[in-house]
Amino acid sequence: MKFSVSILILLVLILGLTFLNLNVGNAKVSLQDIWTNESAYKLIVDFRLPKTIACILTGIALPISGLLLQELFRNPLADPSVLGITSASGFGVAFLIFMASVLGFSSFFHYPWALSIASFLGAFLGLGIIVFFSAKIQSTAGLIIIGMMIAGFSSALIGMMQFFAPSEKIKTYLMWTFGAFTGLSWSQISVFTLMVLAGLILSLFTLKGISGMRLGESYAHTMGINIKQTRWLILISSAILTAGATAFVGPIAFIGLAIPHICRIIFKKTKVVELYVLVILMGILSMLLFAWFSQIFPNGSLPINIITSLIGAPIVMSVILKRNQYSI
Amino acid sequence: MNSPILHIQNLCIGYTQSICNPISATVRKGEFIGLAGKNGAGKSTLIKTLIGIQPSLSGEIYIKGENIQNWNHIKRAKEIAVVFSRLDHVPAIPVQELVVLGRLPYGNGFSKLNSYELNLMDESLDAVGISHLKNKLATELSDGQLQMVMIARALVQETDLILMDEPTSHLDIENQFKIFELVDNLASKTGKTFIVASHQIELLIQNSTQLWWMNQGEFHAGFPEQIAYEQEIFDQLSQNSIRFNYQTGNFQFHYPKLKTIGWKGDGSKFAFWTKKALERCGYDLISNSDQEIQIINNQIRLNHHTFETIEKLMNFLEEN
Repeated sequence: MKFSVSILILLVLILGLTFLNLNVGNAKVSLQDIWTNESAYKLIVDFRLPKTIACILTGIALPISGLLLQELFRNPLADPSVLGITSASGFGVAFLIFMASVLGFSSFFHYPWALSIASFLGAFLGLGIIVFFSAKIQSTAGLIIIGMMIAGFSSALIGMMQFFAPSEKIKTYLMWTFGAFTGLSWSQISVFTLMVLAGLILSLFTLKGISGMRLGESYAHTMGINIKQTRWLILISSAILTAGATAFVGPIAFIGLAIPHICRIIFKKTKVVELYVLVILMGILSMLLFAWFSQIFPNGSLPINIITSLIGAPIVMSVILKRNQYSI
Repeated sequence: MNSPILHIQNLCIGYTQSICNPISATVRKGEFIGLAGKNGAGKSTLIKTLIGIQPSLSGEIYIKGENIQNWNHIKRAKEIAVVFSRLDHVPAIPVQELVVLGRLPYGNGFSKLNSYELNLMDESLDAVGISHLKNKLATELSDGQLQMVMIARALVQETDLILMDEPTSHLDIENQFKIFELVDNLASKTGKTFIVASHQIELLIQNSTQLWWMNQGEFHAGFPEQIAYEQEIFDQLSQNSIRFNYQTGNFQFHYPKLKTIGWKGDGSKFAFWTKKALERCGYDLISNSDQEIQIINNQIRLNHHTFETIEKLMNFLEEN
């Protein structure tokens, strides 16, 4: 399929699903009601629209982060969680939920930004550790190991806090791990948008380097690629994208790993720039589809992480079965 | 004589301490430099230093009269292209896409190739003789074809200087010859300068205009046969069991001579292989002897016996 045709089809589908997401919800309110009914206007503008934008932003952030990391590490299993950023972010949230009252700042917990800030701090702590090690370790395989160690260490700390925590706090933490696009204010959406834009802009500077690094670091060097700079830019941009998404919608599984593979295999495009654009559009499309799908259950919407795993896992498995020569 | 493309002056290479005496050499347009030496002699370190992966300890490198010490990655990439022994990872991308990666120093990674660049790609694929592979995926190619693709990519990089670090080390003998022949042709036809590090010392001597020999911390540069003679290269490379045979002009296993036997060959291929087998089994072949092996019409005669195969002769000799 031609690149331009693929783009056109994806854009049409995205527009359709955006409309569906704005039109459908637990309340029986449709788009045309916003002109006649003030509460319908409020519901759509202050609830469904931010939710749809959060979907779109997540659909950009995690798959692009996955694509960058898969290309950097030349590893099909690489995704945002591989650097340990998602787990570190989870640690930030768990720390707030379980330790706020113990350390005497429980009032902060009720502040609407509290979970986002805690998640940010956790993610940036993880990022700091990765950046510190990336300056010392030359091998990309070494960095993957450090990322896994951060994830393991964070999980252990979270497990320890959970062990001693009362059950209602464990429930709050579990709810966060389910992920949700709802409940974001416009100011939170603004910060989320800024983070995704920052991550995207930084990632654009890595595309030339990624093209060269497909032949290995030595060849890339001889073709004028600044390896160190490219590596740093990939790490920082994917960390910002992951931190933004995890902070505002929770640790969403599968998307970062699966979307780049789905694009490689369905569209059979090999140019980095084309793949980059397709991953953005396919990511948005998938998140909108999952968000819409989560609404159609009769007794309220299902958590997004359950949907991504329910639909994502079979998709990834079927993709692996149909694996072709364009796979990484 | 044309002006130097590359001038190396008192260059010390190594990681913490110099592994070789200061290196000085001059390379001109269209030259084919053969870089030879045993494992660990410093060939790869010299290549890495020339391309900027490994910093030099001291000394200067000039390309077209300019000191390259302060050149950035892109400036270097526009002057020096490199072909390594193999790819660490073969990407699943079409050959033409791989070849045009050679244009990375000239673009931003986003812009489409212009007609000049597309022509350059076609010409390079043509020059290397792999135009028919251009729509194939790199992962579908043999090692020899892949190495040709990497040479085409180096040509697309449009540099006057192309360095090759053991480009034939993973190839079969046919592809080794192909690569050397190709480099020789490209150097004379395109005027590009090649520096080829290789263990194929005989091929280097046959094809290069200048030989660089690195051995036991010393660097020698000069006319290939002169360097080979003065530095006794083949003797240096000979070991107890493998020695260079100056009569045949190749390296051979050294078999201790335990017995003597008469020999009269007819110059045929059958005679050649029979002689090889006798030498391998420790026979010293002499011209006049009571016992003489004769090769006549692809048959072996020894006294009153006739043998149709080499194996039968060897079995007979062993039993008697």
